[in-house]
Amino acid sequence: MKYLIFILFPIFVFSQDNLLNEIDTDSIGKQYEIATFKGLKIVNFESTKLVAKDEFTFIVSHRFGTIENGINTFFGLDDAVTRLNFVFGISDGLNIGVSRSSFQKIYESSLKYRILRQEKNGFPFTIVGFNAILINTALDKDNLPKLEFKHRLGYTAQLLISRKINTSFSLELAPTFFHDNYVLIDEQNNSQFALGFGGRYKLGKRWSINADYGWHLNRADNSPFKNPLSIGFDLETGGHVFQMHFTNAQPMNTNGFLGQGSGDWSDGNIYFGFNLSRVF
Amino acid sequence: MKKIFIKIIVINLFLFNCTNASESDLIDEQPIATITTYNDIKSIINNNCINCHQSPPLNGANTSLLTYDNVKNAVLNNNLINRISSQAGSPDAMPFGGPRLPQNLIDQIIKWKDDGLIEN
Repeated sequence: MKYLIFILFPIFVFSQDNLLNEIDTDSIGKQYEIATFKGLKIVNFESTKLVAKDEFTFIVSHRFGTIENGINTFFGLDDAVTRLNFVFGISDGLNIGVSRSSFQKIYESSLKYRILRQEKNGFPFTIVGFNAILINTALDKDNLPKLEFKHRLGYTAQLLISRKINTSFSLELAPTFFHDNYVLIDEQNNSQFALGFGGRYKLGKRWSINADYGWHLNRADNSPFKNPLSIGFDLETGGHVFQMHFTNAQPMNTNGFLGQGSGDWSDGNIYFGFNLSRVF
Repeated sequence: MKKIFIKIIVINLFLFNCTNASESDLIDEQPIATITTYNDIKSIINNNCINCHQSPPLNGANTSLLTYDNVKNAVLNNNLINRISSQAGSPDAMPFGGPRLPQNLIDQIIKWKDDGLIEN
């Protein structure tokens, strides 16, 4: 008996090897890259992360006033802009959201949907679509006598293409089309195009440094608004993602920070802000 | 599938509502009176400022703009014209958080100052 086991031992080992192979490949199927981004946003731009099915996420974002005024406004704390955003996962690949921003009293409803996912040893990108409709309720008929409801509307259509390059580094490209039915500057085309760039680099288990930049492709020459550049840190705690950053755009909706960011890094006119998200 | 179909219809409804308006399309170009008085600009102040600049002021405002004297004082000593002229989001821009006033209204207040801040 002992001899038999001794003789058969290599066969046992061999068959176990086979089992291990099965675990490695066939029994699991496609393996997707996860945690390309930890927040729903990089800083200003949407990331390719979605809320899971039936999960309800509440995001509070602030952009304080310009830090240029220093202690006089406590580095902008006195002039904060707030956005409350509720996002619900209809499925893992389809999210709806509603938000209200105190920048021009803008209501937004949004739809975010995953088209393709990055696979390990497979398709190299995650592609997510983002669409939103915005209603600017701060426009005032007393100031603009010919104002109609349709002038308050704005639309966003955005494609988010991200790639997790290695365990700590992810990049995103965000071609964006947005249309504001009303623009402040007469020379500005209402239909506007932009290209967003974003990235995340993990510094530690719970820390990462994030940055994004929006390159506006058809801004009017006399426009006072600037392309938004933002740099920040993500801090992950259980259940929360806390994002702190500096940016030169005070609005937080896509149409806002691309079309109406007025700060300027070169003269110190930038805003401190944070996004805080909580999953229920 | 049915849901997606309904969504597409709703989105299309909104898309047909596209306009290409900007500030000059939505304002009435009135000839500016030869001399602008406080009575002419009072409605601008009332529509846009006194939500917060009441007496006593609300929401962190520090002056009230209810009366002729208030507004005159704000123009002379409190930089009112510069603050309503700067872009939203710039330091000290007013109205706070809102869009900048249409340029024709800002121009009326500037003209009131140039005409000597007359009451009526």
